[in-house]
Amino acid sequence: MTPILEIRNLTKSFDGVPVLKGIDLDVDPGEVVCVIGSSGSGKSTLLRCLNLLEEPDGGSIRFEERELTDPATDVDRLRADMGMVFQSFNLFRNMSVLGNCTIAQRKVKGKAKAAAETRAIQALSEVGMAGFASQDPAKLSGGQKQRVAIARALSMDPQIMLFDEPTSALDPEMVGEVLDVMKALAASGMTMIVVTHEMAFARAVADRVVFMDQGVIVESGTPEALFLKPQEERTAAFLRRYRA
Amino acid sequence: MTPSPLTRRPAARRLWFNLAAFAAVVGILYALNPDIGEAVGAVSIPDDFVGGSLFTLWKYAGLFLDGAVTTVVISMVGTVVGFAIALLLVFLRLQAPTRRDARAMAFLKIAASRFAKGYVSVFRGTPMIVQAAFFWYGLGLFGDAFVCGLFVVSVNTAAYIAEILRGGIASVDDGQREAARSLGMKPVQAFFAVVFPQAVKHSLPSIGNEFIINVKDTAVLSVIGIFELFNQTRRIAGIHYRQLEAYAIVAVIYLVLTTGLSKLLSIVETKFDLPRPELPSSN
Ligand SMILES: Nc1ncnc2c1ncn2[C@@H]1O[C@H](COP(=O)(O)OP(=O)(O)O)[C@@H](O)[C@H]1O
Ligand SMILES: [Mg+2]
Repeated sequence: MTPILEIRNLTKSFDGVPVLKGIDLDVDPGEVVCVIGSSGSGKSTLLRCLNLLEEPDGGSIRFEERELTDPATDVDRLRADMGMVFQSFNLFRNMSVLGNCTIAQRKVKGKAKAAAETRAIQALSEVGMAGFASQDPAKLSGGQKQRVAIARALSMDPQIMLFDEPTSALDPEMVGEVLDVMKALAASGMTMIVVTHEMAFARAVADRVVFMDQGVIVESGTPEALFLKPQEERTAAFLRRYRA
Repeated sequence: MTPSPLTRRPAARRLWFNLAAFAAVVGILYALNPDIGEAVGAVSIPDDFVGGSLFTLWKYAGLFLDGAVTTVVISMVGTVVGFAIALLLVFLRLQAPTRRDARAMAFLKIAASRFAKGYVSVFRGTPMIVQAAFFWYGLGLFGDAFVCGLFVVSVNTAAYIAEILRGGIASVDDGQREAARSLGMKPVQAFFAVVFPQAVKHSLPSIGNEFIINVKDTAVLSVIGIFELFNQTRRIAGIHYRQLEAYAIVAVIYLVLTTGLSKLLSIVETKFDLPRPELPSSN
């Protein structure tokens, strides 16, 4: 199987401080990769480099057989194939829930209003939010907002979904509803990279878990291997802190 | 249950207050000069202040109205055109080269941003009366003082609105722009579909304030010979050499205009659920 995403020797610094120090990672179609690691280790920067919200300094990112870092690549078109879900939802405040899920379909894919709305309602149903289509996002709870944000990304029919700590900004009682949506999405065969501190979720859903520390991938493996028999002391130390 | 006067809705209370104030003013006028009919109908201007004021207002109402209309038109057109110019200025101001830009493009973007910044500094940093004199007497580009006045107010207001809009844009959290970009929208699409509508909504109350400020500040256009409200008043004052009455009247007219327009804008703001404006400050 050829990987859908191939990351080679990816580097990125901010103001001369290296944040990613040569990341290599392949993701196969349908695979769910969970990225764990302490705060500041470069997980968000990695995800943001993948869809070029941050411009990498060096290395290569191949997505759907195309090199993203090549200036000649139409990045916007490729971004449309990569759904991104942010910690802080980032819903468009000047639009209804439905508007949030149709605007990019119409602007990027040139879809007609009716077709975009049909797809949006379908995506909203998948996350259990179809009944809220005409609502103002400001009136929703955090968990509902995040589910709409997931539907917004799904409406574009992406090939891969990137999640950056999607439950970290939620009240504890709302974490479950968002993780359930993500579990269903994984079960449907979606390729996913999930940065998360939800170890139980990673254990249950991930095909592979990647542990990052200080801008490098320290260790990666199946959830069983990584959680039960970590090969690196840094991984073991991180997991001990989480179990405590 | 009938509401007691103490729990009456504020709007109703305000109405009663205004009516009472109006009645008080009329009462005082009568007490000072019982024969208003004689004052306004007099052949020559009465000697006392109240009589002289009523005479002036009555006799020159048309001229005052002319001036007021000119003032409001220049202020309104200046604010609308200024808004359009401000859009261009903000667009230029926000240009920033990215790593993907060719060198010539990067240079152009930096130049555009610097230009917009310089424009704002120049027009906010110099008095409008100087700008008016500069364009009318200095450059002499315009054949018509009124057109020159419209131009000056527009380019001046543009500088202020550009800063208001820039603040409005900065107030939209960057995450929304990033989310739009992550869905494949181009920078221009993300800007116009997501950021800009919110920025304008945040900015509208302050832009309304600029309009009201213009109503007052267009008085300086008298320097290039436009007969807006203030200059018109100078003309009226000169007819009978009764400065006090003429300027008292024009002060009241300005006050009615600015408070009336404020009220109108606040009704619009409430209706469209806009954020409360910041306090107006003079240019
Ligand atoms: N835009 C930025 N400018 C400067 N420094 C940044 C920026 N984004 C992230 N960093 C720094 O890069 C490091 C890694 O950040 P991040 O990728 O957000 O880590 P994580 O998501 O693992 O917590 C941190 O030290 C952070 O302060
Ligand atoms: Mg992070």
